[in-house]
Amino acid sequence: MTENNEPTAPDHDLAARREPGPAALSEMDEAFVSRLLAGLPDRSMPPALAARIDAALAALDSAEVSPAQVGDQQASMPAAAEPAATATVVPFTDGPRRTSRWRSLPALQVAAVAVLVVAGGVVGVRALSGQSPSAGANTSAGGAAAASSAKPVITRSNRAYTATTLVADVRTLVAGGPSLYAPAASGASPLAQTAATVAAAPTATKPLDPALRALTASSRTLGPCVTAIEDGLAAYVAPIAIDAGTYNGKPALLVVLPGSDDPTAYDVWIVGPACGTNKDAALIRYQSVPRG
Amino acid sequence: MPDEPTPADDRALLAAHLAGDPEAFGELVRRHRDRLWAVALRTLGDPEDAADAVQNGLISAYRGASTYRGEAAVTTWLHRIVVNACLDLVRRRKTRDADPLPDDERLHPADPTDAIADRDTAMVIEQALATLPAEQRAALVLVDVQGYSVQDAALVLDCPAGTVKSRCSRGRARLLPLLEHLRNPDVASDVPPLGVEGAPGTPRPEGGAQR
Repeated sequence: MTENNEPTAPDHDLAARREPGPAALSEMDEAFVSRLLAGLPDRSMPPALAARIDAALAALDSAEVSPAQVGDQQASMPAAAEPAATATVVPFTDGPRRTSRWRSLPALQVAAVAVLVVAGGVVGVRALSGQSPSAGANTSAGGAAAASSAKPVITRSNRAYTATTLVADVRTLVAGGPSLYAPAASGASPLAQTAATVAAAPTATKPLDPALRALTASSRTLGPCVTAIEDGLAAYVAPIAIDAGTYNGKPALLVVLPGSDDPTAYDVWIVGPACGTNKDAALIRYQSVPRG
Repeated sequence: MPDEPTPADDRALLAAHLAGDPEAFGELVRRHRDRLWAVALRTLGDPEDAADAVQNGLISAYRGASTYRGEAAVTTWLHRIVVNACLDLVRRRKTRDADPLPDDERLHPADPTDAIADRDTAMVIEQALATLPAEQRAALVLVDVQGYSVQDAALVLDCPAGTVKSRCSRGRARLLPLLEHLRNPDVASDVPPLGVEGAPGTPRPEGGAQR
């Protein structure tokens, strides 16, 4: 998909290739089902909803920067820049909710996750209790992967993520590869490690957003954000990786979860610095990324 | 794809919106909202979810109008945004496509002697549609229900036309056992209720024949 949701020639669809399904029908059977579907009655938008949408758009007219101004701003942005808003703006506060295990994690377990290294632009957070944060997760493949991982759970690479490089960046992030995180030299000081990391990572041109810095200060500050992201899941799932940086030039937090519907993929949630505020994840983008 | 109102008119409205005309985007919405609503409703199956998806999608389109580059019809662009909002909602809520319906909502063959059979038929079809995986459902809604060409549906869904065809075929194959009785009432007794072994969306025994 293009960043502006405008259709262009698509090139792949992994989801379709892995869809199991019944055997093909005869043409007659296909035509029969098609006719039934085509015969469904038209549905008009209920007047109340139409009025609600009209009111919402009218409110935008009066409350927001005019589209022309937005266009001017975007014209000066790089070609791959994300539009001011995309279809992935989905309020997390809508609808029925199920309690996430993240919310019910014992306080001590949360407190056991501590900052190990805080130097320069990188923060590494690990579980000191002998358990990874995934200890509370169920036995999903991704959870197991996270549980066995010794990589940092939370990082502040200030990586300049983009839509075009996201898949590769996520794989690198999860793998802890050298393009994002330089391998720690044996015996090197945390400061030296940080310097190496920053030098290796294609970071954003601006310093890390202060709100993101606060958000990623600890697992405690991150808790509401991950809760908002995971709200609706049947059970708490430990994030595989969390990284603070930018996405298409905007401050963003990358949260990598095991694929909820596909154990061969990662669920990647890119959220804004307001993630967790008012139980809203401030979603910028969701993408399923096949594991490399 | 349905071609009214004309794409040129839609583009003019979008241009007017970008130029600051406060009425233009509202007019664009009024032109397409019924179709957008129908797609969202049948893709999500829940009116509240569909309302949220359409509203969020249209707000996104309003804010992101400057990113429209004119390479596709405005209506395709709008549909894409709304369909994406629908699929995002599905992903976000981790809707289980194969979740069994409550007992009183399980599919039962329509009684052909029932005076309200026509209404029941639409309900049965919509309930069957709701059992499909979201991507298959979206493809079928666009192509079979709304009458979009496979090529236009591919643009909306951001996938190759062949994938749309495949999704539609798989979806129809899943629907057929649930809808067979509408063609031949004699097979009605063979239709399994949803959520039980052998029903679409329910794991089949290894080596078991799929329809």
